[in-house]
Amino acid sequence: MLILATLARGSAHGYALAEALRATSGGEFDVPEGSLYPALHRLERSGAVASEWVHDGRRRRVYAITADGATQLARETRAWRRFADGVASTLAAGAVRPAVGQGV
Amino acid sequence: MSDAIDRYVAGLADRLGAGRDTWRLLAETDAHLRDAQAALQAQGMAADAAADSAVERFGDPAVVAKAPSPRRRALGLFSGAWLVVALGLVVIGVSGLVSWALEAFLGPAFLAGDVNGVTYTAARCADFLGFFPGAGSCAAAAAMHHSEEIVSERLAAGVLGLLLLLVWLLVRSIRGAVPIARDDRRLLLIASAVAYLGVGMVGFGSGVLSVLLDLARGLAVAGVGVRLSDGAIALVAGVVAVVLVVRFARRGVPARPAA
Repeated sequence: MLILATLARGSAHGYALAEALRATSGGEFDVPEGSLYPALHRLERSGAVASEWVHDGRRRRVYAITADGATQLARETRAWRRFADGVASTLAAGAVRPAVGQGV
Repeated sequence: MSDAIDRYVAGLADRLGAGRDTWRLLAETDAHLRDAQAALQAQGMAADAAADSAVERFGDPAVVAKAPSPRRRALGLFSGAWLVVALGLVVIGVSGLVSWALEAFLGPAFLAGDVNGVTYTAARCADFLGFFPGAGSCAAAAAMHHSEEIVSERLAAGVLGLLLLLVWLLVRSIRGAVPIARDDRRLLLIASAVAYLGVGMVGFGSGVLSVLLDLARGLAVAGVGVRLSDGAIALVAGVVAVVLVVRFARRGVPARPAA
């Protein structure tokens, strides 16, 4: 989902994608960069992204999100927001109650 | 000059094996690492240190090498097993050629004659002599019959192996090579080496033992050619497989990211 979300902002090659993921997540997603490629290849096989070789001084494979990928991103984003809202609500409810076993 | 990036890509290539997807992943990996190195150099880092750092950030080659899906890995293993079976049948065919030569030079009795003491019923002898009326004796006719079976069956296996090899090459040229995972390549190579050496030692060993026993007892050496032929060819194939296993083990040490 994060890869699709990053590609939704514009096509990118693997290194640029890794940098963008790191930058937009404030450094939270500092995963081994090599793990991006298996994920990108799986997304391409599923039709969520397309890619082509580009020569700009160095030969790079540039990835772009497809219409199917955009649909998948929208669906996964909705699911994630529902999940995150549920977690946030649960945590918020817990925060206002005194912990069990603690005296008042 | 080979730097950390070259070593990393080479290590990754060895883990992945040959294949169309492998080539693409290697090209992408190399471009990525060079980009990362250039970015780090732009920040003032020395070239070697930048290459080391880029490799470290890219991660363990094992993680990247696991890129193929389980289905693709299974396909790679199937492709490798197909090749092993095809080559095994070709090896049997080569043994058939050697058996043929032994039969031609040393006679059918040496290749496939019955061991001393074996007798046949009159009806079976009549069958053998029916196949080979000019053999002169039941034992000679039986040896010629067995020799013919041994040579023809092995040559047929060899032809089948060549056909399987042809199909494998054809599919590979049309669909591209399917990468065989490193662990699977190791498994196939070791299994081949063990199988060939096992067959070779048992076949060749028992053949030599039979020759020595026959000679010690003053009997004519008979029926050992097929075991010597099969055993010798299997031993040669086994030695080749062992060499490949050793080369694989030596080349297969992945490049380690610098700390």
